[in-house]
Amino acid sequence: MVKRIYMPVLLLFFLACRPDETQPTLVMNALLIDQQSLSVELSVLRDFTYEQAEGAVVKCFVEGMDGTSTIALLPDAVNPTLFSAPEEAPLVEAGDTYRIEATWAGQTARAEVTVPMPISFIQISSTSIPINAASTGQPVFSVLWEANPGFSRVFTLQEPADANEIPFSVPAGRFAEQFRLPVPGQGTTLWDIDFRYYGIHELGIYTIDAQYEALFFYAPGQGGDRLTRGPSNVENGAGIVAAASYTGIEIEILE
Amino acid sequence: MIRLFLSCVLVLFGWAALQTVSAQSDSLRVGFVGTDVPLDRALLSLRRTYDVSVVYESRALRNVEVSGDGIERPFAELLASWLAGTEFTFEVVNGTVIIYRKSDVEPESAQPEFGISAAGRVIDADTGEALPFANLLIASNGKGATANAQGWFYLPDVPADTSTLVASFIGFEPLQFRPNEFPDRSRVSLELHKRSAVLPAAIVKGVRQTNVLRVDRPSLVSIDNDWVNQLPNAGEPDPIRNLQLLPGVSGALENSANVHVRGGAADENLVVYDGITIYYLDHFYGLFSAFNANSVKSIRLHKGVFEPMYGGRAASVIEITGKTGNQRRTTAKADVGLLSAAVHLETPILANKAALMLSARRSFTDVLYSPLFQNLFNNLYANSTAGGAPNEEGVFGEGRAPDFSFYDLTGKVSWETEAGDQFSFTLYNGSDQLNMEFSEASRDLRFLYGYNDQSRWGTTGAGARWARQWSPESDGVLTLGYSVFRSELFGFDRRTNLLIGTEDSLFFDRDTELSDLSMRYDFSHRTGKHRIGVGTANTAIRVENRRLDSEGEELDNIAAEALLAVYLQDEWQATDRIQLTGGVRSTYYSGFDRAYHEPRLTVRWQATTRLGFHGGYGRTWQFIRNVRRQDLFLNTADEWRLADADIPALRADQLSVGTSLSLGLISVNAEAYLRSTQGSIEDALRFIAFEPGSFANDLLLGSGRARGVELLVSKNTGIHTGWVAYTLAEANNAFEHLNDARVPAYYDRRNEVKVVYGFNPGKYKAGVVFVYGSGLPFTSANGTYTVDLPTGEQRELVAFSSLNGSRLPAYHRLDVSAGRSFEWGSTRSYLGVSLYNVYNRRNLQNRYFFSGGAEADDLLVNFSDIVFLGFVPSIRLSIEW
Repeated sequence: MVKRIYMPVLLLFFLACRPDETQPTLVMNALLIDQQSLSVELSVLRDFTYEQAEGAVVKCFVEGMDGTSTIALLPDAVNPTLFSAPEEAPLVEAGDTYRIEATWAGQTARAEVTVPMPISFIQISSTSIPINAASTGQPVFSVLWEANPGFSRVFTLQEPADANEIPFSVPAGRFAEQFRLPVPGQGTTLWDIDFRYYGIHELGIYTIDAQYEALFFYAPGQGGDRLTRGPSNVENGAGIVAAASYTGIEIEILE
Repeated sequence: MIRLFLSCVLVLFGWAALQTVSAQSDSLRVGFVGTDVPLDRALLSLRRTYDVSVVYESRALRNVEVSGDGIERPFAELLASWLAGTEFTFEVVNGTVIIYRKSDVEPESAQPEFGISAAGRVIDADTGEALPFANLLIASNGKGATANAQGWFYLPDVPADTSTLVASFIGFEPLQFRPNEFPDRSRVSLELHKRSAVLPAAIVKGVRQTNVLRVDRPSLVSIDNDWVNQLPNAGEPDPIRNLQLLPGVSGALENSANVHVRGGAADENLVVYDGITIYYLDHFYGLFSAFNANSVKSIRLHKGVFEPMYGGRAASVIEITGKTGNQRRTTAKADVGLLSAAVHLETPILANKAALMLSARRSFTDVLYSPLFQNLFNNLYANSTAGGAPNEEGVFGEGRAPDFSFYDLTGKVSWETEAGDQFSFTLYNGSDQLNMEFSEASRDLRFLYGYNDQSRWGTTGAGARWARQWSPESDGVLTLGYSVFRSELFGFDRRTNLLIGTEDSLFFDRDTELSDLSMRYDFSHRTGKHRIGVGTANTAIRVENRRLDSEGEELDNIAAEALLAVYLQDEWQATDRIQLTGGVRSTYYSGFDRAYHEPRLTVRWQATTRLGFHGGYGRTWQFIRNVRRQDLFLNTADEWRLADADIPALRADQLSVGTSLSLGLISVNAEAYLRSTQGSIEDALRFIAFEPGSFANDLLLGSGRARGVELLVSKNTGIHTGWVAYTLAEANNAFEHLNDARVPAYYDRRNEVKVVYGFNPGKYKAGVVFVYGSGLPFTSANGTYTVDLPTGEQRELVAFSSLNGSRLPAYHRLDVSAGRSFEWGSTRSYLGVSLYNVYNRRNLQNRYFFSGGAEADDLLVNFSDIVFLGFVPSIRLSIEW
């Protein structure tokens, strides 16, 4: 009888031993921008020694590119981790939802993203802006657009190449400091000391989704801090598949 | 008269616990073949072969051996020949043969009474102390009752005043008695003696002794505190840790504060010490419980489905009854180990009426850095230091050492009046304090860390109890309890970048005060086959959490709420074999201004004298929660919070079924449970990016589910005692923030095996404990990846597993202890050696990941393992006078 009692215990004891199953994690990163072609960067997670694990993506699909169809993305000839839509594929459309799926080493990672609508301008001040080099800072340009709740904006400023530098008496080029993080709201203002050069600039306004916004604010930790999980919308994988709409405004800075 | 007695046996007790068959008579001719066969087996054979109707106590007849030649003769004639010269005889009542002990019925002249009840009190013969929850048993039919916390019992339906009754208490020798031995059987005083050092591995006086543990009713377990104290420990005898050796209780967490019962979190256990609710159980950051083993009389663990009189927590009730003190003589005890010294005094104030108990323990870790202390503290420190600091280097040496100490003090005065009133007053105070200041370089020599921690925390409590036996059938207990937990943590940390010479610093100040004022009255009345309990339990709780740190963040949480509960329960002996206990508890919670109802029901079916089944369902509500922070624990900020708009009340529903089987010296108990909860919480700090500034936003809220199977095989008697416990369990949660996907609870351990063995051959004692547990879950950082931003910047991100999605390696350890007792006149001493984790297994408690980089974008992922204790040898000397 005692044997009858102990046998199940021993059996359960051995059942307790289960092998650990770990596989490298597929990383899927993409930024889908309205009216641009679609590409996805696929890699695997770096381990803590920063060594890339071996392996190759065997296929990558995008669903709903034009609402119904599925399109296979093709690896780039130079950069094999970059998968792009074929040339004949339609461009990314604002308002459309895309489902991206990548399979690698038996794993399938998925992400879904909806491209935000671009902004609609209500008011733009003059885009030809004379600047006084003696200024210590004053607003020179403003833009206002229609409300688009739930979305934030990221700004870029493309500076002219080989242009003359504005001889400000105070440190200029403030744009890089002022516009590092996404901001909500319906408009923005640029100051003269945001610019460093005379010439034609392009102010880029990205309307970004919540995932991408979270990415900007992500702080992994430093100097012994516990690490924080990065934002991700990739199912069964890592990375961010985000979307944005881009609107550019040409601004000329005059002497 | 004898016929009347026998009729009573039949009428009052039917066929329960007795072996019976359908109708027949003594005149039936039967034949039996066999030599020296136990009489119960011979009767069983006859019952199967012939349609005889016979009633007997199987166990009692086992020692009577009979033989038969196969010749058929009248059953009465055969039986008379078998019983000749034995202590048994028989009668025929209504065609049924009843076999009984001659001694069960007194001579006619004694005029025995039948169908009586017995009431009284069970006490310790040595000290006069009540033996709480002692067992009373009617030997002839196995029916019984349990005494209350004051040792009072009421045993109805005793066949006769000459019936043999047995009183037993775990760790004590059973006492066999008859009601007619006492002039007043409604005030029977039963004095039990502590078990002798050596017990034969046999049944003593017909009743098995229980020296190790006792499973009284579904999900209720008691452990002999003295017995388990001979088991190995991590430096201090620990009553709470011993509970972790039971099935259904996580035993591989090595922390007195981490008692996880059936998939419940640690805060889901109600711990009551003589009416004082204890919120923090531990000393030394959880290494030892705050209860001095010397002051504890008994511990009972109610797992899951408990009676309606208990409530306030969702998973278990740990009911600790303190010693009341010796009413007959003065005794003293002193203990010294490698960490602490303790003294214990019991003395009568009024002989047999009033006693005083004082028990004190204090560590000398602030003046003597024993190797054991250094070992334990280094382990704690390594586990709590921010990333970059050495994981296993010590904090001792180079003129530095932590100023750490703990103490606890327990006092109790008890007094009994002639009228049967019992009064007791208990005081408890336990505290830990740590002052530590030192500097050290990071592993990569990039930083110099300076630490200054000043911490003090502890509990002060008082409890008063008035118990009165209103009548043999009725008793009432009024309990008043007050406890306050205070924690003051202050830290000032500096970090100097040795490469660029910059220095930054931070401080934090976290104060917590939690007070609990409770009043309860429990009234119990027995009538017929019912034991009705009614009572009220009212509690006022106040919580104050203050946090202030160098970033100026100040989060105050001050709340005070009242809980008003009433309950009604009935223990109904529906048939001789079936008992139902049911009732409802209703609690009004002022925080939500509404009442919550908790129905409970358990059913017990004693199929045979050896085999029983039980099942039950219970709902519990819990309104005070402990938020387990994922911060490093020397700076721990675990906080108790009352349910409010951010912290939900916890509702738990549990269904359990089980069986118990007695196989001679071996007992087997198996139980399966299914538990669901609503209102589960888990700290998500650093796991999900929440909006800053709100405490509640760091929490994941959802529901939980736990299920499991528990198996306990125990041997309670003899030189070799112990048990094997196995638990197969699963506990997981589904949180709204995680799209309701099920994730393992952080304490989810699928398989756990505990082997506990005690060897007690006289002066020597030895114990062996082996614990195996499959790996605990943790949230693993799996690697990093880079994302390009449209601004031209790059972000490096860390990818984690899903919450608690990875598993640590399996846990196992082996502990060994041995000791010897000495006697010099009236002085007794015991010298014990304990070897904890003898093969120095490096068991992991958790793994956390940190950045070694100095700047936010300088991500250098590293991890640090939080390890449990390695090999810990200790020695302890006890002297008793």
